[in-house]
Amino acid sequence: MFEPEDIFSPGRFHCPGCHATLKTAPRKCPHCEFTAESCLARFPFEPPPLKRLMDPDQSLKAYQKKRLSSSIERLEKAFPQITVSFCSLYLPDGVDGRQFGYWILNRCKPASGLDARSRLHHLLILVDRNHKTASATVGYGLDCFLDDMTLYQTLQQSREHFLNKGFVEGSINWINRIRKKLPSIHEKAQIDWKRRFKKRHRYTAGRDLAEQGKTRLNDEIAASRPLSPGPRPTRSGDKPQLDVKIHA
Amino acid sequence: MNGYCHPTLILIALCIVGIPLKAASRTIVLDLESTAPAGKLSVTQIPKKPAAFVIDEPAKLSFQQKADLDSLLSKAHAAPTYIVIKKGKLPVPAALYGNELLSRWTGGENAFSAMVLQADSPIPETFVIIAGRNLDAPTRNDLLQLGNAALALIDKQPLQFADIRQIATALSEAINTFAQFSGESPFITANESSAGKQDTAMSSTPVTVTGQPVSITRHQSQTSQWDLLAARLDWSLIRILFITICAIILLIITIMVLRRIRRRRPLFFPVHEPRHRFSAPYSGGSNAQIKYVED
Repeated sequence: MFEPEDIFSPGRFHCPGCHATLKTAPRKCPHCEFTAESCLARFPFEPPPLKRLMDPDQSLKAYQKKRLSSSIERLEKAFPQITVSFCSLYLPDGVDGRQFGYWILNRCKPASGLDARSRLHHLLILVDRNHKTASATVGYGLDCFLDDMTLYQTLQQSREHFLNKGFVEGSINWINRIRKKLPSIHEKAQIDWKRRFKKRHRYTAGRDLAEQGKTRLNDEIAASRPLSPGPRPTRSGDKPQLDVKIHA
Repeated sequence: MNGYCHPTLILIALCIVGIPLKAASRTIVLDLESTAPAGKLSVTQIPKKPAAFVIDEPAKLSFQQKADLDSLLSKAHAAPTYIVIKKGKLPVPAALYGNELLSRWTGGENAFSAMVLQADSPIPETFVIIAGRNLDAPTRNDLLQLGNAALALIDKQPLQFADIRQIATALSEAINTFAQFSGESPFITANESSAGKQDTAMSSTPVTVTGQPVSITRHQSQTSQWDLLAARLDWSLIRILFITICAIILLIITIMVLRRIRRRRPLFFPVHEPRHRFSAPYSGGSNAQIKYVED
């Protein structure tokens, strides 16, 4: 039985704690014993609600907010499933941006069931102004399409913008890059999805129908089987004889 | 072929169907005094004055038929009528060509002359050209009606000998009668002439079949290289090419617009049940990070 992750991603994950590459989906990192609970326990406070722009230090200017918001809006318009949040923070030493992004994404309580569903397709950009890092974290719904390598490559491509024009321009550039890259990923995903799953579903459906038919036939035979032992009835032409015997 | 190509195909079909492939016959009335000579035509393009009244370049008519037409047209003395069947396209517009021939052939001898001009091109055209001198507006209109009446004898394009003969006979008789009636004062007096010239200067252009005067002033009627070039161009082919190119451009634009619309439509990724990692509810820790500071 395949899972989407088996098809759309190579099945490699990174531990948010030690960043070790893992091949399976474990409950606990075999290297550092990292779990979601341990991460939540590390930041024992309530995070602010996930918004499009999160700037607790008020470091963004109005026009920067506007530009960021418009580029995020374009991405969300092109891919209505995806929700994007931009968070600019000054993280203390010893706190890793990736781990913090992972914590925010999992810790923030969704406002509703719909919000919980859309959280799976969330894309969080977290800029740590202290360590000068920009990290991107995605939910389960996207991570088999936007894998770590794609995220890293696009961030690397936008690095010049981060360096020369600041983190806001860098983030805008990264969002735009992702927006331009996603259609090809989507197309590939659609093709793979149709090819693999439809085939499997058809095959499964066919097998199920055949099994259902077989079961029904067996039931009919069992119901109409004579009380006395006799010759084994064949599928065709056995009913009238059996009926006669029963009525007799 | 994709479904979104159908409107453009329909457009192309409509355009092609809408192209008139047959040029209509028409009557042209010329004033030999005011119409400028064609000029710049080579000797081979202007046939010499025929001994008889018929010039048949493509040799469509038999000897007997030509003799028949000659004898028919030679009876007319007041206004000579010629039949010219030109091989291929006319080198200049029909009005200029007719003016050139009639002014050369008739000289100053006759007040009126007429010609049935047929261009034996792939799209045949037939013109009834009636020429006079110092024509005033009423005379011009009368001549136009006369020519149209001759053309109206034939419903379709006169391609057969009988049709040409019918037109030529009617035209010759009508123009001769007209010339005899107006023969009492074929030339107007000097004062009237100058007044008439002013009149013709104002409306010194041929009148079309529809009765609408073509607004060409005297200086515009000078033949230029462009006129010669324009007459040699195959306008119907150019029109077809133009429409085809426009249709292709429209098709390309339509495809581009449709592709753009298609590209801009919202996209949805396949939804699947997540396989939770590290017991986290929403994200399994797929992430990437870069440092944006110089090492």
